Amino acid sequence: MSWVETSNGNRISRDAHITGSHKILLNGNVTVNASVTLNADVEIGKSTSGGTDSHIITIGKYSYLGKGCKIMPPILSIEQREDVAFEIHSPIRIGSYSIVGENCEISSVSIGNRVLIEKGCKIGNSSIIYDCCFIREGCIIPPKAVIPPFSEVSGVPGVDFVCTELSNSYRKLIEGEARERYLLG
Amino acid sequence: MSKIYSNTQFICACTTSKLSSSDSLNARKYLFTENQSFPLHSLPKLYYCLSCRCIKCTACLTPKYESKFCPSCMIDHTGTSSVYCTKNCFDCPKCSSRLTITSKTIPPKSKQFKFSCTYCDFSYSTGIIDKPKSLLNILKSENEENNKEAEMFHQFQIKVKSTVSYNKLLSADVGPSGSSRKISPELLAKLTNLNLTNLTKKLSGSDNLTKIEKLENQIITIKPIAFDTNQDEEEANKRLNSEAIIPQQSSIHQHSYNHPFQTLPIPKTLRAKKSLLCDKCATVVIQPEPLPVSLKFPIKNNAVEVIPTVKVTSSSSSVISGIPNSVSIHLINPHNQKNSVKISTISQLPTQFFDNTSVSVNVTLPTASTVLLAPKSDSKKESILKSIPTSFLSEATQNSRTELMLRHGSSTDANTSYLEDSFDESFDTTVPIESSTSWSSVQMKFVVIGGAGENVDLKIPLHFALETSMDGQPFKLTYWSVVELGNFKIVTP
Repeated sequence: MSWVETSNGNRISRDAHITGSHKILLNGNVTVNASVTLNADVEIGKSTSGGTDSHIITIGKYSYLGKGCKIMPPILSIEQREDVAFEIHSPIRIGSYSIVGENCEISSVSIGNRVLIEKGCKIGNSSIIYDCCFIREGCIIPPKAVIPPFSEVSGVPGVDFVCTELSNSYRKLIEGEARERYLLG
Repeated sequence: MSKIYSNTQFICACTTSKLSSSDSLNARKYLFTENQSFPLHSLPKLYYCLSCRCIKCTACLTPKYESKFCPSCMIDHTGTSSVYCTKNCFDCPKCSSRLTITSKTIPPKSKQFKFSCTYCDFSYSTGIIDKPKSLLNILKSENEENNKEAEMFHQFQIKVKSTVSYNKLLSADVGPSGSSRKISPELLAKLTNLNLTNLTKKLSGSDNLTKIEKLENQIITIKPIAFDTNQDEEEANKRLNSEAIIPQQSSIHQHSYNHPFQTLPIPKTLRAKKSLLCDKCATVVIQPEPLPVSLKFPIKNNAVEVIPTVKVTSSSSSVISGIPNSVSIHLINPHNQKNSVKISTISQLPTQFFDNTSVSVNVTLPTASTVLLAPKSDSKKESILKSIPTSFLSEATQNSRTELMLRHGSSTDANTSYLEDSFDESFDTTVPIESSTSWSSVQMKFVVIGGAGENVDLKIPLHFALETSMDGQPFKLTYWSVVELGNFKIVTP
C-alpha cells in the first residue's frame, strides 16, 4: 500500500477515494486509510457555509480513518430545481484524536474530540456526537441523535440500543490510542 | 498496543478485604485456592483513594449528584425537581430515537403538533390545542391511562408525606393534649386574658395544632389505595405476552422497559453529573465541573493515571507439556513520576484460572521481581514511540520501522543470550529482559502438566506492589490483577 505524506504529517492512502479535496481540511497527523471515501464535492446550504471556514470536511489532528469508511456531509434538505432534485448538505467536522473504525458510514454534523467509533458503525444523518464518546462495534446511531459527552453507545435502535455513561478515564486512553495508531499504522 | 482493549483485569480492594482479614500476601494467595469467584474490573473503570491507598471500583464509591442536564438539548436542569426534559426533547417509544416535532395551525387560533421518528415509522399527532401549553403538559393530558396511575401515586405521596409530618409534629413540640410542653397551662391562661393573641397563639402551639388538624384531615380524606394482586399479575402477564404492540423489544433497554405500553412520545430522561466519594473515608475521588458540556474534572483519581498498564505477549499459540513455556509481561508507566513495581504470583495455579480439568499449571516466575519504570515522557512523536515496548512496534509506518531498526541495532549480545537462556532454571527474574523509557518487559515461565493434544484457556493472577510519589508524598498501592494469556494447544515434547 502506498501513501502520500504531507508536510504537516497527514498520511493519506493512494487508494482512498477523495472528491472535492480543496474543500477538505486535515489538521495534521491524520491517517486516511485505503478505500476511505471523503466526499466534499457537494452543495452546501447558504446558511451553513458562512464565516471564514469554508471547508466541507474538517478533520482534527491525530484522527484516524479506518479502511473502507465513508465520510459524507449530512443532507440538510432536498431542493427541486426545474424538476430535478438537488441535495443540500451541511459541513461535517471530526474533532482531534478521534478514531473511525473500518467500514463505518459517517453522516453526522459534528463528531467531537477523542471519540472512538468501532468498526461497522453507521452514524446517522445530522447527528451530533460530543467529546469523549465510545461507539461500540456495529452500532447504528439514528438521524438527528445527540450523544452527550462521556457516553458509551451500542446496539441498534428498536433492538438493543443503549447509551450509558463512560468513565472519564477513556479521555486519556482514546487520545493515546489515536496517537499510537498514527505512529504504528 | 491498545490500552483500551486490554487482556488484564483487576480485583478491587473491596474483594480482597472481604476475602481475608489479614493483609499478608500469603493469606491472600491461599484465598485463591478456595475456588472463590470474585468480580474483575477493567482498568478504566477503576479509581484510587489517596487516603485509603487502595484501588476502588464503583461499588465502593458513593455518588453525589452535582448537576443534571438533558442529554439531547444539553440544557441545565439543576435545581428543578423534574426527571424529564421540560423542553421539546422526546424519544420514540418504539426505538428510542429522537422525535422531530412539526406544528400545523388550525384557524382561527388552534394548533396541532405532530411527532415523527427519525429512524422508524412511528408518528403521533396531538389533538387540537386551543390554549398555549407546553408539549409535555399536552402529552400528559392526553395520556389518560397514565394520568390515573399518576394521580394514584400523587395521592399516595401526599398521604405518606402527611403521615410523616403528622408524626413529627406530635413527637416534637406538641403533647398528647395538643398544647405546648414549653409553657404551663396557668401562664397560658394569663396570657390569653391579656389579649396578646399572637404571642398566645405562638406559645400555645395553636399553629402546630391547626397544622395537625389539617394533616389529620388530609390523611383521613385520602382513601387507602386498594391493590388487587391477582388483577395486577394478570395485567402484567398480558403486557409481557403482547409482543404485537412493540416487536423485538429488548429487556436490557431499561428506557423502553419502563414504558412497554407507551405509545405516546417519551420525554427525554435527564442525565446527572456526579462526584464519587470513597465509602470508607468520604474522600472525593472524582469531581466533574457541573456545566453540562464541560469536560473538566477538578479532582480525578483515575487508576489509569497511576497503575502501570500490563500487556502480555506470547510467541507461540501452543505449549509443550511438562516443559517451561515463556510469555513476556510488559509494564508501561502512565504516570509522570518514577514507579517501582514488585510483581509476584501463585506458584501453582488454582483451577479457576484455566478451563481444562485434566491439566495442572505451575508458574515459575516471577517470584519477586522488582521493576523500575521511568517517568512517562512528553507527547512528542519520538517520545511516544520510545514508550512503546518493542513487541508492539509494527512495520506499517516509517516512524515505527525506524524505531524498530534503532532498537534492533542497539540490542546487545548480552540481551540476546539472556533471551536464549530463558528456559534455564537459574534464570534471574529480578532483572527485566528489556526496558526503555517508562516501560519494562519481564519474562514469565509456566509449565503445563498433562492434557496433551487438548486446548487450555489460561489466566494468571499477578500481585503488584507499587511505590511512587503523588504530590511529592510517597504513595504505595498493592493490588491483584488477572492476566488472560489466551488459548493454547498442548503438545507433547
